[in-house]
Amino acid sequence: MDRISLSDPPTPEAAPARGGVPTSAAAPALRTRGLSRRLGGFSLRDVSLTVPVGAVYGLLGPNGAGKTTTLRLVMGLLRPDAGEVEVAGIDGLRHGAEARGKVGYVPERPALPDWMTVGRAMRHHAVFYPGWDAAYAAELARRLGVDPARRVRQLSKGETARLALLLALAHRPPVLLLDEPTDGLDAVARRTLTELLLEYVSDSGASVLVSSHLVHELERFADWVGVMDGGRLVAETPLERFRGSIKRLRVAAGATAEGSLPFHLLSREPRGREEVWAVRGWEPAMADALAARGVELREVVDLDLEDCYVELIRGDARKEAAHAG
Amino acid sequence: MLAELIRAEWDRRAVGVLLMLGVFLAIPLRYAAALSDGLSDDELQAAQRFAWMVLMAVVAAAAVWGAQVWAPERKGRWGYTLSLPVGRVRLFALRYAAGLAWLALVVAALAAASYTVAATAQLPRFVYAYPGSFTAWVAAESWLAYTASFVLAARWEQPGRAALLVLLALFVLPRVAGGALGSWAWASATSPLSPFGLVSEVTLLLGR
Repeated sequence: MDRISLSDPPTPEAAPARGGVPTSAAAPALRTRGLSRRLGGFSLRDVSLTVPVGAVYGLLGPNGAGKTTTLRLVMGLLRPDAGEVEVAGIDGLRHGAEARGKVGYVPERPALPDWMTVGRAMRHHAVFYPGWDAAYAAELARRLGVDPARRVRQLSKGETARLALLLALAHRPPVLLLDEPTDGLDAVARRTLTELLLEYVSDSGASVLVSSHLVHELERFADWVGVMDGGRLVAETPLERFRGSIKRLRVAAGATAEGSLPFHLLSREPRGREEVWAVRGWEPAMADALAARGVELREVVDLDLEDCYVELIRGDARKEAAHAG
Repeated sequence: MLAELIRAEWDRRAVGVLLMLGVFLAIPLRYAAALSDGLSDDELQAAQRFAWMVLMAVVAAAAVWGAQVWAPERKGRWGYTLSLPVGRVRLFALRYAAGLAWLALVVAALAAASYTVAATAQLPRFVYAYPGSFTAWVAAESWLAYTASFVLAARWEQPGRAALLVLLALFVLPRVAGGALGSWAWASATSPLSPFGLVSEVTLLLGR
């Protein structure tokens, strides 16, 4: 995997504790190694990601990047052609049922038993989970405004998403796997779901792997980020480090060739008598190295998460195109 | 877990189960009533053909029943059911058993009605009742239709095609084969070339 260059990468196990719950120094909450799967014309290639215990890990990527396929492989909904999955220290391929018992999963399109009432669906779901907390489920139903008497098929998209989150949380799993949980919801519903999720994570110390293409939303609560593109994981790092490592540089026109630069040049665009470079792996000390190469650095611009993400994806697309050419 | 899945099947199929229960209870009783009215040979044969046709329809319903089991899962790309903490083989077996339980109830209703009629109806001379073989025929055929559709629908994107293939295998192929051998057209579906026909023949032989 072409990871972001980190001079001092933190170990995944060293994620910050949440809500006073100590983090484990043993197995990560979730780990994949070399996960690969071919699906028609799409290939997921060698995805190795690690969700530290207690982390909220945002999996970013454009549509068709492989986020949903990765989550479906982790949940055992698809069999990988190659690779390994480990959930809460359990081999997800050999002991899939046990591993799934540790996970609260919200699929991209929750298709719950739609002939049941909400209350009946909750009781049905509870049978499969020994740790089901009926009182907590009732409380969640009340707070999420999900009426137990209504039929599942009568619920709106937002209500279905809320019910799916309820079912995922009420057995109090140590790991949450959420596939675009707020996609298509209005701002109020998104906020409600996010707050509830954060509250659960804060109270329980659970770890979360959440996929989304809503970068601003993830920025609010993720502390780790993985970026997928074209079936590959192209970056994985703590959010702050990700944000700090990608910068936009304003330099005088006519600068040096890419190969001799001390960082990875994602893109360069001429702007009048200047060029704007998007760079990865930037460190302040590199300003001197640039000056030694005769590059006149005029400004280093900090980027927000969305800009970092966009620059990384563009840079990756440029690299892929260069390889293809 | 099985009890819950049986209950979930009931929630989903209550109307179908009640309808089939009604049909299976009614056919033998109606047949007995017709016999007691004193039918001509032609009328008797027509009544028999009607009974077989209805029973074949019920078998077709069993095929559709099996094919529909996985319809909600397909709709949701298996995202709900397969994410449950149950092994795939066990889940498959549980769902199969839950659907079969209700089918068994329907066949049991048919058996009860058939035996009741055989024990109480005044049959004309040279007319004999075979409630055991009759029940075995329907049970075997329904079970086969349900099982084949259930298995095929788990693999195929189009469950309707699974049901159609099963019905072709159960009804049309034996009929074509039976026709080639000169059997009665309407009875060829029950020829020994079909699985249920075989069961029926064996049961008849054992009953003699």
